[in-house]
Parts: sequence; C-alpha cells; structure tokens
Amino acid sequence: MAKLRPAGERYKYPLPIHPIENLPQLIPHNPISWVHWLYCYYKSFNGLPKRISIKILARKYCHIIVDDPDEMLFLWENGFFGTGQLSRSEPTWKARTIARMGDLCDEVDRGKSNLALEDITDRRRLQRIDFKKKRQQFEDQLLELRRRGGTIEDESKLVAKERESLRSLKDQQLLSFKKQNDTQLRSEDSELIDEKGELVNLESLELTFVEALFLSFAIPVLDVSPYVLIERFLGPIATLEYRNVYPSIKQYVAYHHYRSHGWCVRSGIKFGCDYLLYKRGPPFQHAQFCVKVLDVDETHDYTWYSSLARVAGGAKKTLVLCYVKNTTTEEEILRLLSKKNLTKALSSYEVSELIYRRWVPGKNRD
Amino acid sequence: MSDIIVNVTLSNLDGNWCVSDGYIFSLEDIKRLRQLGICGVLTGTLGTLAQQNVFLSVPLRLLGEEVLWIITNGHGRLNVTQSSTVPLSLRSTSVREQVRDDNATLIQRSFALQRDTKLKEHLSKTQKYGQTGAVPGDPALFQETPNDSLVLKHTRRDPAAAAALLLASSLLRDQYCHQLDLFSYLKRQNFVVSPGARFGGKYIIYPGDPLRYHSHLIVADTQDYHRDPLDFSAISAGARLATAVKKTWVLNAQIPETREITCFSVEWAGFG
Amino acid sequence: METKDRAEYIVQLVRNNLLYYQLWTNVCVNAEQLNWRGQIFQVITGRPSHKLSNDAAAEGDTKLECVLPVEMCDYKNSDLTLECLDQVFTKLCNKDCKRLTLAIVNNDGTVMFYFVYKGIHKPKRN
Repeated sequence: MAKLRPAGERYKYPLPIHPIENLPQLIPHNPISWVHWLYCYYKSFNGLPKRISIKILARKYCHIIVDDPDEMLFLWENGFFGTGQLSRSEPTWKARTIARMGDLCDEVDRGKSNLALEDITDRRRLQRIDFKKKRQQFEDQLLELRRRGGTIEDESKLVAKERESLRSLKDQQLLSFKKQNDTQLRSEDSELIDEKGELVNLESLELTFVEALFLSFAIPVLDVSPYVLIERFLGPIATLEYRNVYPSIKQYVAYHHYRSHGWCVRSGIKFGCDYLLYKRGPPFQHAQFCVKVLDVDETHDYTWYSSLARVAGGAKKTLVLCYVKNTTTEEEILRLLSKKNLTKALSSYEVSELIYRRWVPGKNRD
Repeated sequence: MSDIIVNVTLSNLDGNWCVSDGYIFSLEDIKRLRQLGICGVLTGTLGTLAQQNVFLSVPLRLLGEEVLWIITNGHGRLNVTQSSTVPLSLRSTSVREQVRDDNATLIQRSFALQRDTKLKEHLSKTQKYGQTGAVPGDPALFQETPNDSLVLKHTRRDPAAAAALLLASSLLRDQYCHQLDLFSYLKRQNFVVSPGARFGGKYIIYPGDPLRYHSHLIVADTQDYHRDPLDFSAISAGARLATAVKKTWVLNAQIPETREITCFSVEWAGFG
Repeated sequence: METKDRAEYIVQLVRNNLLYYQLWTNVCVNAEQLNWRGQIFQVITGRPSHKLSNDAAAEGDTKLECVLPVEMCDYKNSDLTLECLDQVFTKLCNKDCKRLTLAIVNNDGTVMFYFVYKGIHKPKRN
C-alpha cells in the first residue's frame, strides 16, 4: 500500500516532470557506448504518456476537477497539487472510509498505519474536549469549596487530586490512542456501496485556477491549453478588460514565482492569506510562510496587517507580503494576451517581498 | 459635580482642520471615567527615555468616539487648544492691533520708569559730590514683571475661542458620529470598549472593568448593511484569530433605514 | 439554469462533506430556498457525530445543526451581505435554531466551517 512507502521515496519528485533516468553508462573511450547512449537519450521521453484530463464545473466560480484515482495520486505525489474534496489535503477519503467500515472491506489489511492524518486530528480533538471537561469539573468543585469557605489545606488537597487525576487521564488517552481502532457503520453508509458491493469513490481532486494554469502553461501535463483555461475563467480573450484579468494574473505571478524557487505552494485560505509555502510538502513539515499577494500600490489600514500577522504568528508562521508590479502598460498586457503570448505577458511583472512580524518588546529581546 | 475636561488639539494641515484624540490630565477625571466604563489608554512617558517605562502615566488618551460619547451624554466638555505656535486669535486684525497697542503702552511705561530711576541716580551722584537737597532713590535692578501673558488674556476674551470649540466639536461629530452609534450600542449593554488593533479588530470588548475580566469579543470594522459583501478570507482570518485567544469575531452593520445596529458573532466551528 | 446548477453542486459538496467526512447523521437538504439577487441559498440540517463544544452540558444532547453552504473564490468578492445573512436567519432557519454553521466552499477544494450567532455571543467553552 502506498501509505507504507517512506515519504522520501514516495514524494521523490518535486514536480510532475522527471529527469530522464536509466541511461546506459557512458564510457568515454568506447565510441559504441556513445552511440548507444545517444540512441537511448533520443528514444527516452520524459513527458507524460497521456495528458491528465480535467473537468471544469460551473461557470461563475469554476471548479477544476480531476477524478481518475491514478491521476489524482500522480498530481498529489508529484508536487502536491490539488486538494481532495473530502480530505484535508491528500485525497485519502477512500482509504479512510475503508478503514472505518473495516468489516465490509476485508481485503484491505488494517493496522495503525491506516490512520489518516484526519483521523488522528479528530481523535486528538475529542480527547482534548474530554480532558477540558474533566478539568472543568475540578474547577467547579474548587469554586464550590471556596464558596463554602474551605481552608487553604482543603484547597491544595483538591488541586493535588486534580493534577493526579488529569495526569492519569492523559496517560489513558495516550494508551487508547495506540490501540483504538473503532469501526462504525451507519445507515447512511449504505449509499456508499454500489450494486457490485464495492465502495463508490465520492472524492475527486480539485485544482485551483493558478494550479491548473501552472500545470498547463509552465509544466504542460493537463489536457487543456492555458488560453482555454483563461477563457473559461475570465471570458473571451478578445474582450478582456484589465481590471478583470489582473487579480488572477497577480495571483498566478506570485504562485509561479514561488514554484520556480522550489517551494511547494498550497492555498492559505485557512490562515486568511493566499498561499502557504512548504519547504518540501505537507507530509514532511509544517508550512513556514504565509504569503499575502498585493498589488504594488495596494495599502490597507493597520488593523488589516495586524490581524493577518496575528493569525500567521499564532500558527508559528511568518507573514510574507508579496508585491506584484506591472512593468509595462495595461494595454500591452491585453495585447500580448490576445496574441496568445502568455510568456511575454507574464514576464512583464516584477515581484518583491517584505516580511511583516509582530514585535513585542517584552518578549523579543534578541 | 464639575465637568470632566477632555483636551483636544486643533491643527491646520494644508488648509484642512483636524482634531486630535482626546487627552485627560486630571486623575480625578480619569477615576470618574473609569466608573463610567471608559478606560482609555495611559500614554504619559518620559520624553527622552520612552523605552524605559513599563507603566505609563497621565495623560489618558481617548478614542474620538469616546470623546464624542462623553460630551454628547453630558459627562464632560472639551478644552480646545491650537497646535500651531500662533494662536487663532492672533489671526484677527483687531486683536493683533490691541496686543500691539498694549505692548507699546507697556514699553512706554517701562521707559518712563527707567527715565525716572536714571534721574534719581543722577541726583544721588550730584549729592555725593557736595550738592544737597535731593533724596537718593532705589536702583531699578529688580523690576517686577506681572505673571500673565498678553496673548492668553486675549484668547480668553476672544470670540475665536468659542469658534475653535465649535469647530472641534463639529469635526469630532463629522469624523466619529457613524462610529458613535455602534459605540453607544455596546455601552448600553454595559460593555467596556477598548481599541482592538492588538487583535486585528476595531474594538475589544470586556464584560466589565478590564482589570477584573478577560475580554471575549473582537469587533470587526463596520460594514455597509446593504452593499458590502462578506469578505470570507477576512472572516476566516478573524474567526481563527479570535478563537485562538478564546474570543468571538463580531461582524456589524447599521441598518440605514432604522439606524439600528445589527451584529453577528463568528467563531471557528471546531471541525473541517 | 446556471445559478441553479451551481447552487446544487455546492450544496451536494457540503452534504457529502458532512455525511462522509465529518460523519454527521440525519443530514438533510431542506427544500426551502432563498433567492437573493439571483443567488439561491439553501440550508442543510444534520446531527454532528460528537458534541461540538463543552457548552453542550447546557445544550443537552447533540442538537440538529443548521448549515449554510456558501461559495468563495480567492479573487472575486462574494455576494453575501449582512442583510442577506439576516434573511437566511429569518427565512431558512427554525426559530429555536441558536446558530448557523457557515460552510465556506473554497475553489481549492476545501470547506471551512464557522458558527455564526445572531447578535453578540460569548465564545463557546472549550
């Protein structure tokens, strides 16, 4: 099962384009090896055998969907593109559901390793609620004691008891975390099994506009041209207005900028920003940076920046303000787009960054 | 009881008048404001060693809407000063002439006094050298000057001071009246309101005195009830931030037809 | 037709999310609709798989929650004003519904859930 492969091997490639491998050894003084090497080099091909097919749903806010399981996996494993619609990020819904409905799906070997990240988070949250409930009980008792006018000794006895009991609850929870493997079935789940008795895959992978544009323009692996994508999202290229195109271009320029510098870029909506930057990807470590993309002339009041910085800081991330500047005219960009010269249009933009961090004089001494 | 005195400064920047935040200098007034649930922010510090101060002192700084609330509810009055070095009153020709005339009279009087002293000095000298009859006078070494200012005297009498008061109050009203409705709405529910920039909002709300209670609400910037769409990205950031510090994020708008304030409290649901 | 299809897509997405990701039960898409300036809003009700907060002691057992699916896009403004939210509360929610759960469907494939209370409401106890 894919889950059991070490992450380093599973996510070997940072992008869905691979270097040519398996070339024969080149022996400098043996001309035949040269010929053979050149032949192999010429014959090998590092593009995809077949472009990945996408569906574009709805017209106003488009949803770009990949629903073939292999293609979903491919996009996730090669650069962490897209999000599973029923998962936090990696499309693991099917595996999770199989684990949950274990009895029905015996063919999958179940074990601890089956626990998806989502399950772990869920359990932690439940345990935390239990823990806080217990703590609340003690606090209520303490309050009651004080109201009755209990002595200091009584109070410290109760506090000691609280500490003891909370510690043992923590230990218990840790233990149960390891062996817990509950299977639960609900009447609603019958909908998930088709006539053949197999689990229906409800989940597809959704790509954002910038991801799809990157995967059709910068690294063409989708079966769609970047211009078709732009037309579907923004309207016919011939009648585009700059103010409608610019927000998307701005987002894309920033996305492309960080992808080109080797970052794994994912949506930052949960943190109120545009992008999160991962050094390698979500399975390896937390994102270090929150990026907010701004126009070079854009300003906001102080509270706007401070709330963004508070959110980023609260999640131990650094807020990066990414300013995008058009170095040519608006008309020129539209002209280049209508001539289908996306490369030239996009290279007319400049990117510069600022780090914004909350500074507390009492805490940040160094 | 006397009025609480809120000090504001008027200044003229490139022809536009603007009014400063309110400042309270009297400890007694600060105590009374605190009982009214207006806490303000202490800002007094040592000018040269600002970073050395852990505890700040008077003056207490108030938000514009707090100042407006105090004066519209009859708890206090404004004391307006001008930030420019030349007071407004001196811009009027008649006052300027008056001050000039007063000055001239004073100078004349001082000259007369000096002449008188010199004369007496002269007499005493002539007496020394043998002539008699004249009495020696005091040398004018310590002439007393009155402890007042010509300019201030005129400011007080001046109709321009009343004009400045009027100007300051109307500027406050223009700038903060749309915030006063929300502020008064919160005050009516006995909340203590404090500036919210630390938490990325407009206000932080305490259920009582901040020294006794934790705050549990962050109020977002007011939006237009009919026109402004919800900014989901900002709500996501705000609610996330608020929930992390055990608060809710409060969206608010004024219904223009009824002037009624409407609020919605948002917090992270804890899943998803 | 367009807006209708779109609305249904979002509602289905949130329904599946509640039912098969959050593992809620009794999930039901209410028939009532609110047409707001060409946009259709619909509410989903359901029962969470576990208590969502420790205030639950006061709430009794896990109650039916009212979920409003809305759509967001990172470079376009939404159409949902506070006036519209007021309408949702009065027209689509039960009288005893103490809060609305906003399900924000983003175009990156994620759904975020936020509780919205009418008026000023203290944070839930955690």
